[in-house]
Amino acid sequence: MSSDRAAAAFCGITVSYGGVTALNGMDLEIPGLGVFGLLGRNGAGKTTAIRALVGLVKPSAGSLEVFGRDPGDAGWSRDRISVLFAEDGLVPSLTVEENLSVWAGLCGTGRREASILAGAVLADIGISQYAAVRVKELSTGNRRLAALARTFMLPADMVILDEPTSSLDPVRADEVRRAIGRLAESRLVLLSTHNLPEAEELCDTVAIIDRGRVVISGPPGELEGMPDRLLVRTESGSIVFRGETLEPSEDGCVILDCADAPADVLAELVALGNRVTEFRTYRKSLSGIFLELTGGDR
Amino acid sequence: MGAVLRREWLCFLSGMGRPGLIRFVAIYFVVFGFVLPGSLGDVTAAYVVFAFVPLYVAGPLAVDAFAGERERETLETLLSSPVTPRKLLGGKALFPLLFGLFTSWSVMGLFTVWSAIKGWEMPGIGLLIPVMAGGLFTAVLGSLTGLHVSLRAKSVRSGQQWFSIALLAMVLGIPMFARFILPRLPSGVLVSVGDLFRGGWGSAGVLFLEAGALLSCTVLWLTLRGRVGGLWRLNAAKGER
Repeated sequence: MSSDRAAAAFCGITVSYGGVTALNGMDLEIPGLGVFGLLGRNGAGKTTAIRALVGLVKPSAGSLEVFGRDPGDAGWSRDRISVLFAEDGLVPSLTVEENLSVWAGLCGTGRREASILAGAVLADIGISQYAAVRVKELSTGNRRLAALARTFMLPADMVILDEPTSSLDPVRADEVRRAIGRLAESRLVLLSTHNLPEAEELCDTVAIIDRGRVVISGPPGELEGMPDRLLVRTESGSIVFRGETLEPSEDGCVILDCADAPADVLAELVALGNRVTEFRTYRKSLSGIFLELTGGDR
Repeated sequence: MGAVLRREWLCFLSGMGRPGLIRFVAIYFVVFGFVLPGSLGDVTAAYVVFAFVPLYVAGPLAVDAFAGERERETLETLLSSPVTPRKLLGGKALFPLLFGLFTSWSVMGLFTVWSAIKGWEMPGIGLLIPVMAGGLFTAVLGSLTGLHVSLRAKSVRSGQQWFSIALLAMVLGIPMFARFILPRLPSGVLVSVGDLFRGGWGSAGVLFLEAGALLSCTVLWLTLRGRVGGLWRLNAAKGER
């Protein structure tokens, strides 16, 4: 699949469960390659968007195209998408290898080929030693890794991961993130998460959704509508700027919200007698943007 | 459909474990296979038991089909696979049906061998064929009824309880009908009904029963198809499948 063509396009998609509107006229384009992050608070509509992508929920309004087709069509096939839901979807009484093998069978892969693919993906993720262990006997972290193996086992044009590191300790979460990073190198991965450092680390593009709508989207470092600010540190801590004395924050610096060219601002600061020790553009973190856009009362 | 069948078989085997296997053999091969038919003292009554065995085997297995997936939180993942509703339903229905039939016919075979060893009266082909056909019908009925219950039930346990009630109604319904309703029917009606069965396999009565069985199974199947297709759409009111 070419990277410049959108893999999926939501156009005014609305999904309601009884009286609750989960997606409220959502517009979103998911690119054809890379890691795409779907960020939002609990209940923002991330999982519903995933269900709509796979055809597990029927929108009441709007149009949705996944690889050029409506996933609600009777003849639509899910063989181009592999999903890891928040629940891992593994059968607890079966071994890891059996789980992978039956999954491959459901996807139309023969048993011999499935066995080879299972061995390869388990080795790639580093859990080959658990192949013959029943899933119910695995730790939460290893179970998550086994579920990732199931999700990445077969070639798919889009891999969807819904909260892949939730409920994991930091070490295991890091292992899972590294595995995702490796496995996502050559395909489109849609990562739904509210773990912002994780999104910043893994995603090429993100969309923040709130109350069933996309509020902003773009590469994490270049989200539109979030102009760069200026970080200033002086010998005294506080700065004098345009008739005001600005006190530093806890880390000893002042953030200036100023649209002027940085060089002009620096010259002005020096001219006003500020003894500047550090001056640079300050990019708001993804967490900051996220909180600003979604942190309001519900 | 083969992939769904294999998955069902593996889930059944792994979920049952050794204690479950011992229980299964004790109930179906010892109680239903030897103790119960052997105690009836009549070859026809003994073999009729085998026609009902699939109902008890297929039904509970079918109840686990969707309720078990829901309970294990594997349903949504299963639905996200490329498997079509038709193949999913086919596999889910066929596994309990085949396993019920296999159990019934194996137990019947063992009992026949046991009867030959003990020198008991042997069944004729005129008894074996209706028993096997009846077994096929109860296997289909058990499987499809179990699947209906499974689609509604939130857990395997509640599904088993509902299926037990349905089974009790079926099992008690027949003797209750014979005990309380039949004697109250006018003798003319009984004679007419009896006449319908004159002529054995080719009689109008047997054809009527076969048509009824076929019709009931078809209705069950068609309604199931609609409901399984509906699994891909969330319950809009509750946000559940």
